[in-house]
Amino acid sequence: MDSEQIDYQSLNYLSTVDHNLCCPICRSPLVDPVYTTCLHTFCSTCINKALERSQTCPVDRTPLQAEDVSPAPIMIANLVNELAVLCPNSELGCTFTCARYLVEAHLSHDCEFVYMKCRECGDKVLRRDAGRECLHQLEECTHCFQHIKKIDMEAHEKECPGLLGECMHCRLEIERSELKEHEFTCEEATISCSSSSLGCPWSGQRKELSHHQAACPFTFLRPVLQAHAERLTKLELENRTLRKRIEQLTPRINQSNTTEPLSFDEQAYQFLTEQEHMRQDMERLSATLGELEIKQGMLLMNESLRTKEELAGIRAAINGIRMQIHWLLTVRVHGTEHRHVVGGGAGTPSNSAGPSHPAEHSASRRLSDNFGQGVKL
Amino acid sequence: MSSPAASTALLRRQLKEMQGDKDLSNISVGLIDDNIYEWEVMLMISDDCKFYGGGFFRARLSFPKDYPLMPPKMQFETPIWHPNIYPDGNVCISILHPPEEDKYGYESVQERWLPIHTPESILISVISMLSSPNDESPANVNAARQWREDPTGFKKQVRKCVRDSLEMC
Ligand SMILES: [Zn+2]
Ligand SMILES: [Zn+2]
Ligand SMILES: [Zn+2]
Ligand SMILES: [Zn+2]
Ligand SMILES: [Zn+2]
Ligand SMILES: [Zn+2]
Ligand SMILES: [Zn+2]
Repeated sequence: MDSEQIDYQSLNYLSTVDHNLCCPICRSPLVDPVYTTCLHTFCSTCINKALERSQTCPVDRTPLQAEDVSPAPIMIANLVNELAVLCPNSELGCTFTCARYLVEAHLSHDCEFVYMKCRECGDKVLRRDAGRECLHQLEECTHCFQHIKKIDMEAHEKECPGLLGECMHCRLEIERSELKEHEFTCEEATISCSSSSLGCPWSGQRKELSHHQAACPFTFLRPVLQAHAERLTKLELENRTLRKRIEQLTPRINQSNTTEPLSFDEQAYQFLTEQEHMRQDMERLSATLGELEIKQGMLLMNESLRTKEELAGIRAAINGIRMQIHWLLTVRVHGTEHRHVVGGGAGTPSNSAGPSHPAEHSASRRLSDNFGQGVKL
Repeated sequence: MSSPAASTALLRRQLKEMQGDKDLSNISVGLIDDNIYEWEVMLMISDDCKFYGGGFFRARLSFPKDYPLMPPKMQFETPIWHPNIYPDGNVCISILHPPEEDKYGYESVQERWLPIHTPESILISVISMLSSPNDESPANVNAARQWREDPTGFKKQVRKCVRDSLEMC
């Protein structure tokens, strides 16, 4: 059986290994590293087994065939092969440590804790013992007269039923197999009062127990105390579950205190007061608005009164001006008529002034028209 | 060809890593009957998890002999109401589905099991699944319908199982 393959994945490494050197499938340092066309590195057995299941990369699901896998660069292989490991038989007692690639040689040549075939009978024996005579011959135990293989004798001596042992209390020598039983009945063994669970502090040799119990107040009160103790444990249990729940609930309460500090009632109350405030504000505002309206009305009236007076003044002034213009125009018209009569007889010299008169006339007419309109407005 | 020794060694290492990881204070793991292929898991869901916050859920991870090539199974032992958890507690989450099986036709191969997943990554996915169920693959049809149509009732039901989960531990 010593040719059994080494289980590299359960080797114990002396130091923690960089996770970049670990296989993503078995999560232990790469064994026989290979890499894929999608550039992921695995142990060769790991990726082969995975490809039997599903022909995709176990990391990124790239479709992958067995031929897409090739040995990883020698540097990576060296890095993992030189990691220091404990001998796989360290649990049996081997303290050897070496680079990982040397483990195989250690197991096949040196390790004292590898099982080998016995030279004489072919049964398995540790290399440590292989050089000596056959350890598989039966031997009679000197205490119990059972026939035991030599190789198992050491283990047998620890539990040989025939070996005498001494009671540590009464010094009685009895067979080991009965020693345990004797402890329960030994008159000199130190025991505590049967009511110790209720609080009796007494302890002493077994033979004195009956004497103590005759006077023990705890034994006397036993039924009452026991009922109490039962209730106590029940309450303790309940207390524990309640405490657990409180622990669970406390952070939630704290949280809700910070995020929504008010209960529904408080929130409603706050809303109502706020609404009341707003209503009062509203009333105040509408009162002010009314006042302002009155004030504005008065101002408007005052202003329009003043404007009317002014308007009346202006109208009077315009009338005065119109009268004057009218008078002036009549004077002018009469004057030109007079000159026309004169010019018609004299000939051309007044020709240049002639056409200008009707224009002037119409302009001033238009002016007065405008005035009339302005007044009407 | 697949040697159980490889999976044993890997699981031992992963168990030790998880038990020693201080960052995983809300997950505790242990073995059932000293069997390295059967893990007992205790999930303490943090309060910021929607609906399930504050819950204490006990579950079991059962690893196959050819782990990590094949995914483990996960089953809640604490009753839990969730669209993606069967009434018997079995968890239906895509990363626990082996890549070659086609019976889960609705989900893409991209989300399924990879040998590089770890018990830790599984549990973290399951915790995130709690707060965001996958509506397309209901394992518990009633829970899924309620989650969709009656969120208030769903929340009530979940809070009840959170409360019960506290009582059970
Ligand atoms: Zn590997
Ligand atoms: Zn890849
Ligand atoms: Zn050795
Ligand atoms: Zn022999
Ligand atoms: Zn003996
Ligand atoms: Zn004795
Ligand atoms: Zn006593």
